[in-house]
Amino acid sequence: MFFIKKVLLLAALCCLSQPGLASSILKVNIQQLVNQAESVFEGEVVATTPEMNADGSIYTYVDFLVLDVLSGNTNVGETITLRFTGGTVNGLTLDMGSIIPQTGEHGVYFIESNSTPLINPLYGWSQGHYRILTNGNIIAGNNQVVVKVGATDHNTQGSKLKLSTGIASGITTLPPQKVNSVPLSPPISLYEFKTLIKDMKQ
Amino acid sequence: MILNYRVFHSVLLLFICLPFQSALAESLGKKWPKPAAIFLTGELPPGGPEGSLADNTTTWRAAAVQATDRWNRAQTAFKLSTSNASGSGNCTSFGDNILSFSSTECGTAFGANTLAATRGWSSGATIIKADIIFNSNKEITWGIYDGPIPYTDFRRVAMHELGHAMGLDHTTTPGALMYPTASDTYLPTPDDVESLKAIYTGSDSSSGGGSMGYLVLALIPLFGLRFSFPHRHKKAD
Repeated sequence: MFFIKKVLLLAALCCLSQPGLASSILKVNIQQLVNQAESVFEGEVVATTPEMNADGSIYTYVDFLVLDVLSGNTNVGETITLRFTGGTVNGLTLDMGSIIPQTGEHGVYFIESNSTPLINPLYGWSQGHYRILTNGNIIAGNNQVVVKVGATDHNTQGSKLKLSTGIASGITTLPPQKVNSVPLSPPISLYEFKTLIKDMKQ
Repeated sequence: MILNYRVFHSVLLLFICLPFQSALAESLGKKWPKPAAIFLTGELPPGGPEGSLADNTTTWRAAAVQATDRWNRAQTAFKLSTSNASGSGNCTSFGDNILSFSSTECGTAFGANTLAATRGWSSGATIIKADIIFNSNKEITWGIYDGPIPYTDFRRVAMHELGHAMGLDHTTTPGALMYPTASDTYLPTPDDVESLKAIYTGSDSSSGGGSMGYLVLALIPLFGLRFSFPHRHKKAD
């Protein structure tokens, strides 16, 4: 039984892996995420549709059923469609480095703009993308479990040009295998996560 | 019995992990059919940055050539070439590999935090085309210089994006060109070089690079063997 659990855990880690990062995105902090995102919502991906347009580029249209609204003008129960540049059509793949949400995914999404077409409509790309697993853990864009959300008191860029590592400053994560082994660092719950985001917005 | 059980799980895990190797290694899991690519620089503006941010480089095109030369001089097993010609098909899967500045990415806005985007086209695990587009929007101050990096150095970002275009993912080694935080580094480091060699020559001397990462992961269930062998041996005796 122990080995089965180990295999399942490691297999899950493998499956969490995502395509690589092929673009240079600036690192953002949690205040930027909260204050500059046009809307923030909890939702479920109900459909994804990759299409090649007349110019030969590929876009993936992702339909989200909105389950809760943390900020912005989105409504609960509404289905909104976001367009991501990239995807696969007829065996041909365009990869911009975006992690495109997949059908069935449940998450919290920070939307930079739903009115202006962007390469990736999520603020800071994967920095605005949080998946919620069936066990309640929240997975950030670096494929690690969110254990803490706190305001940052420093300039994200500082003296160095910092590119995204998939996680915004102010959000602390741990590898899945360490979550329950580090004292005082349990995974943050979805309720806590949403409450902290709403509080920051106010 | 324990041996077989653990071997079975290692083999099982290896097969589970193989399709997802990209994020466990310093590779995007895709590569060019040959370790070579030509990038056209003719669509970069003919001039260069204004003011004091230029560092012995007068034009964007010259800086792009220098970026490819710096990778080549590091002997990565991948040959980058440039041509000053203007290309075609910079928004499609066919045509030339193009380096350019633009205020949009093929008509789509970059967004607030995107410095540069690489459009990587592939068929299966084979890269067939890559275009690198630098965000020319006014809020980004581009320069060309070596040394400390308080501004956005075009040549360094070009080298970073060329690394992605050749098939490299980000590294976890601070100071490397492919590390997500730009640093004073403006030449490929051993980590960058070994990562590329791992992709195109199969030699994997980098830490955690190539296929070693997921192979080790798959062998984790076998670790117990090292401790159980003596015990089992004693029992057998």
